[in-house]
Amino acid sequence: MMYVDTSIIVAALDPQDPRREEAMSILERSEVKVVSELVLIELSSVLSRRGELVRAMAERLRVSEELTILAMLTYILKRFGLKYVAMEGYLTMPSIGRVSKPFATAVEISSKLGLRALGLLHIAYVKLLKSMGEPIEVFVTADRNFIKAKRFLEDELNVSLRLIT
Amino acid sequence: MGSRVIPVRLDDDDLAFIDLLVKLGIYRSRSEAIRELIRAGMRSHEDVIKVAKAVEELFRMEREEGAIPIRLDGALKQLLRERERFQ
Repeated sequence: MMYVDTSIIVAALDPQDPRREEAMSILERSEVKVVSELVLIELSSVLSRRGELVRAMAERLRVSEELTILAMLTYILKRFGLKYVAMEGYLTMPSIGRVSKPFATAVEISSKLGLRALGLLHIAYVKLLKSMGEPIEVFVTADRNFIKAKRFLEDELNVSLRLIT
Repeated sequence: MGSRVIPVRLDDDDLAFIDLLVKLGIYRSRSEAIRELIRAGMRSHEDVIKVAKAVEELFRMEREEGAIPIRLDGALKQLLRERERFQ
């Protein structure tokens, strides 16, 4: 099973990018591919800022722009067989209180990784998904920043990093 | 618009809630309450059905046009640049 970073999905939909073919071949594998809610948010953000595409698609689909983004998101998940796993619950952080699990986990691992916030959150999701029993073996991304997390992924989560370049 | 009588089994708590709505004067009868609540439930699912049909349409476009109908030219570079900016 692999955790798919948003960058792979965006690469597969970006005909201008040289990584498109490799991203597409990864996404079209039959292997189980899992995404987190962070991937959904990042994808929605990318789609929602393509005003012309959304407007044209809304007209073709005869639904509002809001529903068009939801439809495109759902289509992408189905098209590439991406499995979305919901995350629930909170962790209690000393002297802070209740924090949602992904955010608390991102804080907990931050000192070991030196990643920016979104990168930390993706790694936190991998850690939590594994703790929920999802047998993730590979983290696949087109974002070079995740090289900083390679050792952590391998040593602490038993997950290998696959970077497409 | 015609109407039909259909047998529906409700559990005690749901029926008590419907009776409360009738007692409070929100609906005139159990039948009216159940009709209106069903309509409200159907309205709340309209968007789900619209999205499901739109997704089917996207797959139809792909089949007809031979390509994924969502093109995000230059989006990867933009995403990676934005991640760099986001602390």
